[in-house]
Amino acid sequence: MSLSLPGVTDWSAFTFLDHHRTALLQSIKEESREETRIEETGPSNNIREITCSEILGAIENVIQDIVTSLARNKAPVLTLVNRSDWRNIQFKDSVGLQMISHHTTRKIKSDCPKSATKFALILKMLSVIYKMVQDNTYATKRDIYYSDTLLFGSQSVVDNIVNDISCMLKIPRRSLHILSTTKGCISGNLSYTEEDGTKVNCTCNATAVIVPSNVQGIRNVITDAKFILIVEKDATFQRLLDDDFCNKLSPCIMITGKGVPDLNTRLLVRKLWDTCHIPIFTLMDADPHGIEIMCIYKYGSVSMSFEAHHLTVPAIRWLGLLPSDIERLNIPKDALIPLTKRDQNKLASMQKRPYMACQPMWKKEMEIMAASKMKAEIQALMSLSSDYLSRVYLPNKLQFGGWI
Amino acid sequence: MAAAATRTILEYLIIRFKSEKERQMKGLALEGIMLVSINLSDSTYGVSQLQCITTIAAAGSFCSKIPNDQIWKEMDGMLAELSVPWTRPLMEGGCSHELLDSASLQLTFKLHERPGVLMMDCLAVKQFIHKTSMVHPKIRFHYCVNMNGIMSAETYCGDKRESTCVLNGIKLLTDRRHYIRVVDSLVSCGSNFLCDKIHPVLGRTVNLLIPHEVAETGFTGELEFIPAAALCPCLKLFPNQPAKIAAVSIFFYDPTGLPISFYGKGKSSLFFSDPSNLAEWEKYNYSATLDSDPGQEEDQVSPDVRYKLHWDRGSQEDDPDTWEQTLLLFLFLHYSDQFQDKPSYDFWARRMIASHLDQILLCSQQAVKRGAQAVIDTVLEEHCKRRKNQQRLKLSLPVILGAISNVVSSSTNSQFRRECLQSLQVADTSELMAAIQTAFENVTQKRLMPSGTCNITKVPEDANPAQLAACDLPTAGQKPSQEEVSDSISSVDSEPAFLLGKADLWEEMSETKRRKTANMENNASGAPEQEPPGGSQEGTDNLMTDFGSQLCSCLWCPKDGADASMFLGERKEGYTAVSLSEGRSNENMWQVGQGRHSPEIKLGLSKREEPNMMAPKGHVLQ
Repeated sequence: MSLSLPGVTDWSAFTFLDHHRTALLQSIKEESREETRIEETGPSNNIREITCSEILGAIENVIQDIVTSLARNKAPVLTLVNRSDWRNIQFKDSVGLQMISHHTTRKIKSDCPKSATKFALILKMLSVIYKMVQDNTYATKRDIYYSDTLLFGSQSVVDNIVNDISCMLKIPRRSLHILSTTKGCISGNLSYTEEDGTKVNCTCNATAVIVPSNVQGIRNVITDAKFILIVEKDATFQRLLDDDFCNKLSPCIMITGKGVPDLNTRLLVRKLWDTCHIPIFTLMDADPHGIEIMCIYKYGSVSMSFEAHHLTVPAIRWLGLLPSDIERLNIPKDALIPLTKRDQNKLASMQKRPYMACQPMWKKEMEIMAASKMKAEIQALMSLSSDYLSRVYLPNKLQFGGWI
Repeated sequence: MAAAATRTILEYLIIRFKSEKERQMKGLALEGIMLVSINLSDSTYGVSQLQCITTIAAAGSFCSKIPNDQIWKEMDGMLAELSVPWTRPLMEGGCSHELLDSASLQLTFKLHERPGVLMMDCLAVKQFIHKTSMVHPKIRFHYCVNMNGIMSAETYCGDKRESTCVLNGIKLLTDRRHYIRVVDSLVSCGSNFLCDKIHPVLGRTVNLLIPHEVAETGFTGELEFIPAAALCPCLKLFPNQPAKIAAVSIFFYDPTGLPISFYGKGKSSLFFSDPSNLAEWEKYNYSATLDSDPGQEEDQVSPDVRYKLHWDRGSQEDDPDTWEQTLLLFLFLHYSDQFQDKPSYDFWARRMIASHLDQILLCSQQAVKRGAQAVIDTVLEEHCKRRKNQQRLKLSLPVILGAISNVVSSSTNSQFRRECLQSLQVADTSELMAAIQTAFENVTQKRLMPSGTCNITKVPEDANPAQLAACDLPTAGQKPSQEEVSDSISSVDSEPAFLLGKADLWEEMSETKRRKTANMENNASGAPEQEPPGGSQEGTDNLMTDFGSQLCSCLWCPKDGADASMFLGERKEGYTAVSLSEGRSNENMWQVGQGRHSPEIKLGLSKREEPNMMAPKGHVLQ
């Protein structure tokens, strides 16, 4: 075993990790060259800050269209992009799932009972955003929902409308002064300064730090981490904290989105990648749901594909728990769970996704899962030994390049 | 008496014809022509009476296999019961119709009656024919009244109109103009497109128990009833238009498709006296009361039972733009007797059912209630769903207005504010909000939603309500001209102002309908319609069937009638003298009949294509 004392990891033994990082840096350079070439020949895809007046102008345009429509005795209509339609999505290796330029749209009519409520809520949200941008104040989606629960009905309604507006105006959500409630946690060799000047140090201790609400505003990111480990579930994350994993494999960063990651967690992962360019690994359950979450980190989600450029990290690798690990490690059968019909359907549909074509190893792992008709949670490793995950499984995987 | 005799003979003939048809093949609709011609003239019995010669004739395949001798014998007995003398050949002075030359069956009877009684009789006969024609679209009913040479004629026929099959060869005409008049409210709201049809919802068959007293008379067999319900007018095209149901009209038909009336001397229905037998009205925020006088406009079929509905709006204010609809409920009886090889429903059975209908319904009260309620619930639930949708729109409006107001009022972009104000031609933000609200309400309420099941026609803006019912009903012997057909349909293509802005919606109209329109336009392109000298075609079409007014003028002002015929003599054939009087209602006519002062009567001309249809006084009709 290559590990020595806690906090004093002998990284010279982690050659695979070094090679992986070198390869990543090389590909970044190539991508950068490619982007420069495209910039010279075509329009720039660079992310630029959107000014307040641009946001206000975009909202005013929507209102003016409505007034003009009424002046022509026509019922106003809002045109939204079909965000969740796979036909509007294309896969690009370097970006993940992104929206095509000639996407299909749907009309939200003001005179149709089925859509009038949505039309009204979109306008309401636009007026809220307008006010916040004018006042330079921020609110979370939760704040907005609680400002008029009767009107919005449910949090998901607010979430959807915010995403629709973001997609309609082609303005990232954070620029609309709407923050999402953060649930993700981070720990490890990392320190940064928040927008309001608060200095945050995530250096390993028993309690993790909540992912900041305004990821865009953080600065002075300092880390010596050799890798970032994304953990699917909070329980596993806490267990690793308890096992002092960050110190055992120091320096590293652990982050969890507690299931399906919120926007801030995804933004932070992206920010760390952009800042540090260090390998990022995922530790997920060996089930379709775990793979789905990993794909969200790596390639993005369909519904947020219009923001893929700011959210996805295609460099992410699948560390564990791989379906092939189940047999390799002789995990006892009673620690496994049979795949449900729903799992099987999800697995089958995921195998058909566009990004699976460039991930033959993933596909193979999924085939193993489909063939065995069994799934396993990360906790299944505890059947081997209570600290098997932090003491043996992860160090070995990292040391010997056990990711795909 | 004339009405009773005419009805009796018509009922008898239709039952016989139907029975014969059933013998040949079950489920076939009756086809043929029936004529009822009433000739009114001064009576030799005195000045207070008129002579009424009624001719009933039938022709067509349904008469061919009927043993005439037996019919004559039975009809003789029936008329004798009513003390009405009859003669087989046509009496001098009756209405002329080509059918009379070829009719297989023809009988005439003569009566002397007071003008007021005859007037009511004529209306009753007309209503009976109209109501019967609603479920016998393949029978062409000609009805004409000749009063001192001035004739009013109508033809009821479903050939050209759409119908829906109910059961056993009985079809129901779905042309809404038979049931309700809607022009006034429509024109006032600026919307002049409407669906032409009603869309009946057919209920399930309900078995009826035969009451003891009916069974004791020797009545055998099984009775079932099938309900069908529809809202009239259909407002599917205007889903956001506020509407309420103002009345329920119930039409009862016997197994041969003959109407059964609950009204008449000493007649009333215990079953229908309780509106809750039909629906839980309060569930839909309505309360119902029996309308003891269901008399309607004469151009519409008169219901057998009618309820007035009152909408309990709670704390909501009454919307002046609310359109009124009528819930039409059709109750069809079906008769079968498994122990009889041949159809056994006869005139006697009809009489038995008609006289005991209330007992029959009460005997199976729960089953009838369930059957009727189920079909009415379907219609009312749709109605409520529509109302809920409108409520949703109403609730959205303040949110939309508030949002727009917030953005406009807090904007520091003067160009944006100026352009908003200029668009709606207002001076300040408060005016802008008022203008936006009005504009929103306007565009929302008038939303036109294409429907594949609807048949759209344009309601003329300057139309007199009366013409609506008349415009599609050709008069005796007249086939609807190509011009008339194309005129009503081609109007669909000429978009009114409010539709011009809805080009996208209009584009969504069904291709079938467009093709139909195009075909009709092509057919009609070479034959421009001629304007009658006295005014528009619309105005005179209306009056052609305005029998009440004509009878009015004839009964009270025979000299006017004579003048009219003299006037007609100076004109080419093909025009009919008609009254332009506005006194159309039964009440007015009754007042005239009672010798009160008649309303001012004017004469107009109605162009008719077929010259032999109408002729000046004294002219022998071909």
